[in-house]
Amino acid sequence: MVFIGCALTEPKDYTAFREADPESILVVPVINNTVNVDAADYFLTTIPMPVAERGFYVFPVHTVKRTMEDEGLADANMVHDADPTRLASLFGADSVLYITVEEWEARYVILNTVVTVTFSYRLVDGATGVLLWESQETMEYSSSSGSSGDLAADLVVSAVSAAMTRAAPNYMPLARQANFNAVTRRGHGLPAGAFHPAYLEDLDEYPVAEEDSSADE
Amino acid sequence: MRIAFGVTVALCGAMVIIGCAPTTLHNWGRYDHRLYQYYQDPEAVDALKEEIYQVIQASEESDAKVAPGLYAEYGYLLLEEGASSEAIEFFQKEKEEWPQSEVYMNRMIEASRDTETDLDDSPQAAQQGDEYE
Repeated sequence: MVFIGCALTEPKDYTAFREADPESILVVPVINNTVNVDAADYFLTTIPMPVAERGFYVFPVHTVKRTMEDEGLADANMVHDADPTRLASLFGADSVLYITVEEWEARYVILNTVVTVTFSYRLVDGATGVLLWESQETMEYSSSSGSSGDLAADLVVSAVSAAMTRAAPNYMPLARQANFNAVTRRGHGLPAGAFHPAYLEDLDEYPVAEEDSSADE
Repeated sequence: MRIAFGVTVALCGAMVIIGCAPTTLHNWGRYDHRLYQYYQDPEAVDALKEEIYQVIQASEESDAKVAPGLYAEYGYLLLEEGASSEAIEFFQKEKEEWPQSEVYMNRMIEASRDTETDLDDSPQAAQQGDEYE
């Protein structure tokens, strides 16, 4: 069973995004707030496709990673704190995407292994440093799948399933799904970019805030 | 396993962009999987390189725009092998295919040229020069 964690609410305010209208996105080193040391690198491989498929030019993630390492910019925390406009101008990027891996774990809870990934995203304008978009996404996979009515059989199936999942947690498919959800969710993801057929045809779904909004400021 | 299959089917159905549905903007092949395998094991660099090359070929043959970054990633792998003039060709291709990459590709071309100069000064180059005498 797969759970998607994000409640649907009013669309986000895309005023800054629409004004900046970025064509290109630079993904910088990803912060890893988990104990799984490989999470950031593995995560990196799952981000270019979903973002580019929304119609943006995404800089080559491996080449960028190695370039930044060579230039002493390998420390993700340091990079996230640095001036985004300097980073953007180094690469000629319209915008910079900062991602943090918040969770990347498999919990073994008697006869059930639960795999959870959580990511937070921030897209920032390369010229001004203004925040264009932010989001958070969680995906969870639970190895248990309900009962067949035969308790003995269920226990065996659950134990095997939990053990298999624990031995090889399916982080990667979950990460890909999380990224896909984060960038495509209507009203909450990325508007269609310049290279997407729906570019500028989704102004209603990813709206600019109304000027006479009655919301508290 | 029954459960794993069920989840895979559900994920496949939901994941429109990962080769399960026909229409995507770009052709990516198994680039992301190969890159993941490479990060797991640096020995897998040849498979990564081969995959990217195949995907580039397929896109070029079908007159499709090569996916963002693929020419550059291939160029970078060439650069790491020391094939700097070939690398420059691919950084050039990335720049032509995706003008958004121009600033970065110019830097990579510059860096590759510096590598070429270093190689000219290397003992290997001197040896090659002797071969032609």
